[in-house]
Amino acid sequence: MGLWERARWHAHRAERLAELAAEVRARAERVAGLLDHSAVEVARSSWVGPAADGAHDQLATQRARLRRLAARLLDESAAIDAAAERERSTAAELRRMAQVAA
Amino acid sequence: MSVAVQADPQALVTVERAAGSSLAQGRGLVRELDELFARAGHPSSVPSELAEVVAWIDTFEVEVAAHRRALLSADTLALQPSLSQVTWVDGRQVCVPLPPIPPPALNAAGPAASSGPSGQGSSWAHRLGQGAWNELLATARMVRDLLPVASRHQDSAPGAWHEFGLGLWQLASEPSQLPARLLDLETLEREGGWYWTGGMLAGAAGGKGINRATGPTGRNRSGNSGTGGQAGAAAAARASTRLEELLMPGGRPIGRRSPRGREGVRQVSEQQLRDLHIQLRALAGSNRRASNGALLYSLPDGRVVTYRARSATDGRPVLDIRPRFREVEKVHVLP
Repeated sequence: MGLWERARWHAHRAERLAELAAEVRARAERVAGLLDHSAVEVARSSWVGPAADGAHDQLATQRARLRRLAARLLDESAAIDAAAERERSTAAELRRMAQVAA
Repeated sequence: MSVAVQADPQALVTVERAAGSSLAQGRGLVRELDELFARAGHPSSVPSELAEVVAWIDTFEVEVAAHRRALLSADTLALQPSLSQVTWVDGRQVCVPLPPIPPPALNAAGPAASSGPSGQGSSWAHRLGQGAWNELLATARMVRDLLPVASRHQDSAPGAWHEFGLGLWQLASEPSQLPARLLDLETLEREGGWYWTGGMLAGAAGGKGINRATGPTGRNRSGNSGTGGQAGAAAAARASTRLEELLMPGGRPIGRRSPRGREGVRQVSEQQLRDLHIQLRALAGSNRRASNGALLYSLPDGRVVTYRARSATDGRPVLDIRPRFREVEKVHVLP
């Protein structure tokens, strides 16, 4: 594989990674809000008593966990973005090398 | 110390649906994230941790459903259509049964006066009897209790089925009005709409001796509205309005009228029966065939439902469900 082809490959890889990072970010929001509707309905319901209290507590715990997972997803997407940036740099470097060689 | 608690089972149906929706979305997210990270070549533990939360949602949904069923059991026993009494004893939740639902007042003036020509309603009420009454109640209870759970993954049907079950329940909770309302169901049936509903009630009664071919009143085939004069017509009109409320909660029909007329209604009815059959099959997990060709489903809560897609007497698409219940436990203890 020549330098130009390698440069194109890394550039393409960078684009794909950037797209994937964006998709992961989009899902982070959905993960964070996964139990919002359930929590609203539990709060709205007339369900009371120890079982309902337990449900409230567990829902709060799991929603907090979901928010942490969503934050980690944002971190992961940033890491994928960084990988995309590295691929772009590599592609740029390869293009420079190809121009020099030409 | 006991603490009395009240809750609305319908509210828990909403919670259960919300949890079911979260569950489906969560499973989808786990799948999508797994795929995204794999495509990125970037391993992550987030999908597996999210899967743990999704597993909890699954458990939560099951717990809510169990709680709702317990409330409905208490509701059934307590004769309270909307509220149930649940008591806490030694840290455990128990549903305390109250006296059973009484049979209709067979010789009461109300049913006879409101259901048509003198004596006919009374005679019909006699024929309805305790057994058919119990069967009607059991059918109402089953529709209200089981179908929303079984059909929660369908977008439009669950609410309608549940409302229909509640409507049946309300109808059955007022015994003195039942004959008049059944008469009106027959009227609706004759007009080509909702006749599967009439079939359902007629089926519940028919199992105990009411002639299906002629209907509970025995006179709807004549074309006579059977209201027995102006007063009866007014009563029927009132009952009709009430039934429309029951059958069209929020103005949305249950089992739409078909633009193709009676034939279309028949097709819709048959489709509803097939849907119900599928739901029962999914809920029961297993079945066995009775000697008369009906399918007997053993449900998880111990109930046995006999499903027959068609009336044995005239082949009409009737909802011919014969739920039988094991002896109700005196105290139901939640797990």
